[in-house]
Amino acid sequence: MLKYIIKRLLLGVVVIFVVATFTFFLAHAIPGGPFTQDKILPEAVMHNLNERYNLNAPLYKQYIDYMVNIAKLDFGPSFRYQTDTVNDIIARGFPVSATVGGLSLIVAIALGIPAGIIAALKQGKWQDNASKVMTTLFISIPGFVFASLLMYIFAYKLRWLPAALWGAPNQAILPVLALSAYPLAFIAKLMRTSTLEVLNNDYIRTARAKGMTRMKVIYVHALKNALLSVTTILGPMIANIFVGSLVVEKIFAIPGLGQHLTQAITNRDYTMIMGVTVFYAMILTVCVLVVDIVYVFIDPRIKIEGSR
Amino acid sequence: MDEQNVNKTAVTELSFKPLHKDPSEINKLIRPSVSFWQDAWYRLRKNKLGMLGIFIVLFMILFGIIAPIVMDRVFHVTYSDQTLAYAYSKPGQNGYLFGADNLGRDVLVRLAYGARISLAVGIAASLVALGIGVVYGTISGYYGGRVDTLMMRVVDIIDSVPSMLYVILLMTVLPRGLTSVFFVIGATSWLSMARLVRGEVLSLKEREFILAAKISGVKTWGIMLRHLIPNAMGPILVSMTMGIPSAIFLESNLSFLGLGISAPMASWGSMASEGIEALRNYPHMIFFPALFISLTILGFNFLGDALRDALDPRMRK
Repeated sequence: MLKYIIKRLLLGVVVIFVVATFTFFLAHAIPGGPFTQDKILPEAVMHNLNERYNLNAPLYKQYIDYMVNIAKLDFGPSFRYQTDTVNDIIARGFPVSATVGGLSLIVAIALGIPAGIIAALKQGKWQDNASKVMTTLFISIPGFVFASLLMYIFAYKLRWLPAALWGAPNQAILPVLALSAYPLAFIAKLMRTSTLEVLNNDYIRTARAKGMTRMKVIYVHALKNALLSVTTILGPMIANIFVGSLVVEKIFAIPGLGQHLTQAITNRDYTMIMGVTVFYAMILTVCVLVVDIVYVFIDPRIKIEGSR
Repeated sequence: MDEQNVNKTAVTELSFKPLHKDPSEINKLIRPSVSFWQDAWYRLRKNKLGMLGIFIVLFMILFGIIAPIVMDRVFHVTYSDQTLAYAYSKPGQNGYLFGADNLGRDVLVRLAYGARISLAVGIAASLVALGIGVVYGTISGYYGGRVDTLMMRVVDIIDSVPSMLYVILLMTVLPRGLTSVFFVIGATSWLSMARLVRGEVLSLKEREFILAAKISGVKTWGIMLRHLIPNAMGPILVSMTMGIPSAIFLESNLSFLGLGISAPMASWGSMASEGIEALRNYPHMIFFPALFISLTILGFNFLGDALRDALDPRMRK
């Protein structure tokens, strides 16, 4: 068990190291450097600019400095915002993004699990078909289509909810719904398959034969085992919510980290893109790591070699 | 191997006839044997959703090819035409069937060009992914052992971070354009293909026919190209079909964020991105690109599911 956890931790560190290295060399592969513009800057200004962003040192030295800073969770200054460092912007944007993302995950789990179970129990009936149509649509429709549809109907036509911005609780409803569509469909689909699978097991038949009611069997046995399979996909779901949040934050003008990343891309703010990317890689790696480790503890069927 | 299994599913009432008494006739095939691909096509044809998928995909391809020509020849509207006075025309207004956008350009014509780009991105990116994935997966699976462990660990490491992050990084550095989009999406979506091919190769290489090929002196490359890859073609084809909608998905997201195809070229994602600015008053600008992307992805997903059922009888339930 401990060996597995250490192995996963090491892999996580390697992942972050690789992403950071890739980011660093990619940013340095940009021809002409970051300050090349139409207006040619005087030699001295250029030198000072390079000095401020540590671009005068030899490449290997820059690389080491950069990696040491990242290990200290310092993502450096921003090219465009003179007063803000990348850390300031992450500190401002990440809580917002995490709120939207976390709420979406909760909504997806809270609605997806019952939807999947109902579909499995009513296999072949209208509930099953309705859930099948819903999952197919939610998986096939891109996030921005769904988001703009929600915005058009609920904000512009019905005028029930605000169209954009962030702060009041009712401003979170539409973005959270838009963001949870895909994970919701995915969880429902997976939950349906795994519930059907679990219900076919011998121990379910035994439980029924002993006289347990159908609902009790579902609660006590089926649900617990089917839930485990949902745990396995939480990691990829978190990654998916991250990608979705870029689009959703842009549409609903939410001042989250995704919005800052999109802006940094438009502004060609290289240090910001690099910093936010590495930060995202870290967060996602940690999330997946936590999910994987938790999974080992809650699934009694897992026996990792060396843990006996 | 699977030949017998496959034949069983294609058997109809017509195949049951009393055999001749003559013992030499017993082993004679009465009906022509059905090849794997014929049988797959037979099963695909019976799948209604799959046929709907094929229909949607063919419609989008034809739309991309024909619509601009018809619009040009019959209505004299081309891709580069724009009439600022008619900006934001609603569908049907001023002769624009699907309306005009914020710069007075015909939405229908731009949609058709968007179809060309989206389909081209989908197909090109999945071809790039196919190339890298098949080579990588075959080598990893065939050599096995340490090589396999190392190569798969590399895949795991790359796969730990969503491909969108790599795509963003690469697109900020590479020059904007269609070629970059092909390359970047292809270069980040070969992982699942590599895993799949590796798995197939791992099980195929233990089969007798590979041993027979080795004994008869076929070189490693020959075994890979002539025996391993063709036998894994079914799952590869399914995975490729499934890869096309994800590439289209990724491209539309990229263009929506302003990282994909650059103006004045139109992609469905960039049209939707322009459309959302005018959502309140001119919803037609986003309605059509959104509808077309969703339909296309739905069509490819249906087709992919149907192909999986048709090509891999073992996976059927």
